[in-house]
Amino acid sequence: MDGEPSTSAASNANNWRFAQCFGDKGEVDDITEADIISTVEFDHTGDYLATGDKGGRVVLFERNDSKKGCEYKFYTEFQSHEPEFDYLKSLEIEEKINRIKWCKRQNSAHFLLSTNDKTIKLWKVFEKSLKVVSENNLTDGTRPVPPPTISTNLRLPRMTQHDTIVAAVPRKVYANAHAYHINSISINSDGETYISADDLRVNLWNLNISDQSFNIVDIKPANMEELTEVITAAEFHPIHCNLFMYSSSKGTIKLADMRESALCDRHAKLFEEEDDPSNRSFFSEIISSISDVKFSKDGRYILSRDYLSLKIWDVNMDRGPVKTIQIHDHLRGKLCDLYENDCIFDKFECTWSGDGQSVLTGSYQNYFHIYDVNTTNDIVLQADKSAFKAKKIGAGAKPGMKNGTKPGVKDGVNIDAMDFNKKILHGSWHPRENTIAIAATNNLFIFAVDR
Amino acid sequence: MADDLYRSALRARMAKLPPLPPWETRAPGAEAEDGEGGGDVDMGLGTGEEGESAHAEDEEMDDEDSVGELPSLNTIPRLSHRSRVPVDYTPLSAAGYFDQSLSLSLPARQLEVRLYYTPPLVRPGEANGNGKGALLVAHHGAGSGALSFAMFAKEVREQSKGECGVLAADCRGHGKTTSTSGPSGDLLLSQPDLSLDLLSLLTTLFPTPSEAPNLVLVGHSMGASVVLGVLPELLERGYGVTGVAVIDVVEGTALEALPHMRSLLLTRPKGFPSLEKAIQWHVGNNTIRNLQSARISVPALFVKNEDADARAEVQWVWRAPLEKTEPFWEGWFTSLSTRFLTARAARLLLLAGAERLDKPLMIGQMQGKFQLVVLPGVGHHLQEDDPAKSAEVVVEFWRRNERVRVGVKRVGER
Repeated sequence: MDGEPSTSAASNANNWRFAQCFGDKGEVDDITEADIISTVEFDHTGDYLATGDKGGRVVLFERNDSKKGCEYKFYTEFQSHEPEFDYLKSLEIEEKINRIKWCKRQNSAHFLLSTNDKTIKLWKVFEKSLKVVSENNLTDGTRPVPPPTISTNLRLPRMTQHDTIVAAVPRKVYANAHAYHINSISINSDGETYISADDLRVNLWNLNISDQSFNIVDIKPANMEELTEVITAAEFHPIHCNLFMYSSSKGTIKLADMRESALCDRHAKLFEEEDDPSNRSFFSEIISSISDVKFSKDGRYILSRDYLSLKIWDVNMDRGPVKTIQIHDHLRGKLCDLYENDCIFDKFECTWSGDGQSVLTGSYQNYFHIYDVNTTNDIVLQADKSAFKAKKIGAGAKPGMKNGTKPGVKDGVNIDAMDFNKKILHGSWHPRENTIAIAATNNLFIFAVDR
Repeated sequence: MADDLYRSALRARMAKLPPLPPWETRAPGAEAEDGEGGGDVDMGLGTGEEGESAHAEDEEMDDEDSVGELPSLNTIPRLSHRSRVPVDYTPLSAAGYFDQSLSLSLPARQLEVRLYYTPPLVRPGEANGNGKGALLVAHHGAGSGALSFAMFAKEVREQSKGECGVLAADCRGHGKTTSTSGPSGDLLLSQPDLSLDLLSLLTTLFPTPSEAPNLVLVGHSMGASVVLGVLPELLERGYGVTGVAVIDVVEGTALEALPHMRSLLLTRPKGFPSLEKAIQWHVGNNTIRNLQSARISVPALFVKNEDADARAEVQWVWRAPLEKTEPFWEGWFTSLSTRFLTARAARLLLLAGAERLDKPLMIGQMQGKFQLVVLPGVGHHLQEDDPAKSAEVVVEFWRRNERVRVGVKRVGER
């Protein structure tokens, strides 16, 4: 734990401020579908930020350290995945990037894994200096010279540095290993292997081998009609290279140990909370589905997100979570409508802060919440035009903040008028400081704590 | 979408949930209820894509709601009116279906034949054969009568605009035909005898083959056997026969069914107190599905019971005692398929309900030797159950085969 004074700063709502916004800041009504950001991920240093969108593009941002503080600028962009057509099943394979994970930096080049529903690609992003011929036998760079007449006057062409471009090259393509849609990838702490999880299976890959993968979890029932549970997320333990966990739509988290057997269908630990029978409703099962699950940086805690709440588990205790945080409990009464407009199936991500003291998750109407793990103090911010409009107004107004940080008082917002189309599903927390990147439909917001 | 699998599995499970009574109250913007929140199921079901089904359900519920809200007003009677309107089973006259009803004497056969006749309209200069018109000669089946072709005849006349006439006769021992040699004559029902009867009839009506209209022979059930027996004779004598149509009889199936016929006949009532009851019985057990046709054809199947007094149950008995015809059954149907396939005329097979051919017919069909038409939704008496469609098929069959090409021999012509 680094002695960053921002530990308490992060839990103080007043410290959070809007920093930047990328993307078309226009009205929501005609967004190009392809611009919708589908994943956000900081790298291990926090100097680089990757976003993936529905059009299969990956955009990288680079930290620009200036006196002003936190600022990111556009670094490079490349088309990671193209739309495909599965002729056998007559299905379109979307090019939407589901996940991006950075590999640990080993040299000057960046390596990252990006995946769509079916294919994972390892991209190498590096700076390439372009050299151009500046002098040769026919020109000295500015004007033509007569060619030499005797052989001793022949010179080799001279190259000079012309430009530096950022190039992205796919180094490996890990294809055809998943029959169902890939929902997560996670790189092992050993830096050599990674897992990819789809609805029913988890596969283990070696980064260097693209034509083979091992299946380590398979929950496909013999008869597909009996399907009741799917895998929703999977992650490797940040420290122990043999442990990984996967969450399911039934609200369970299973921790598996790869040393135990080749197939990890039998979990080492099962994290499941006893359902309160009095609270049981028709939608209980759907809202208990875990949409995202993350290990804390020290690997001691697990953060899980289901539809209405965040749960923090101690890895050593599988009886129940150590903390449950209700995010938008007022939606409990609207589950019917949310089922009708399909919003009940929204998959919200959750993130730990770098120091493990705060957690971040999104909600509707572009609100997102930062909770302090110890005090469960709730900071609600909105990633909306209001964020930067308020900034323009300047003094007095606290930009990007919503009045009434008290949880429970649902901000005086009329719930019925809540816009369920604007939701914060994806976000990432800088590994070393209190800076967060939030994806709001087609815009990327950066919020930071004043230093 | 990433979670298609989960959602489709969920919907599949929801579809298996038991449906709930429609009167379950639904509060607008309902809260999810405990356990049997079934009301919510009805409301909640129907995502964006399935909006139509949700609306359909809503509409359905609205309808039932509205009826429930007006219990005192008898505005919309739920039950159909059918049970309240009495069905008319009274016999119908054949007048209007056939042009003429004649009685023909055939001394050579010791027969007084009742026949029904719609002569063909001959329009000179038209390409209907050789200016002599066309005539459908229809022979009914065992236990049936000429009037089973009544509605068929009317349809034929309409559809062919009168070009095609229809001739149907009650055969020996049936309908209004009587045998001059007494009751024993009624039982000479072998196929050769019946064929000779028909031949005699036709030669009496049309003594000169060259002046006779072109014939299309139509045989229903047993009648097919008779008609196929008479065909070679007619051709021999120089009559023009365009084609032969067989209605709902297949040799193999018929022969297989023969053992069951006896028991079936035993279950028939011996008679009926009135003709209305007789008609009702025929319609009731789906022997004849067309009520109007039954009202025309069924009365001819019965004769007054002389042995009964005024108060007896059975006032009307069967004209043709089918039980007594058992010796002839096999003779009717044996080699029917072969005779059909070797008939020297255009061939049409009309079947009711399902295509159930025996082996020779199946081979023949594959070889294109005859036209097969299967009529759905009709019973064995298909010319009665769906006269319009039957007529359409036969008229079309006739038209197609009637075309005269100078110098080209028609099928069967020598």
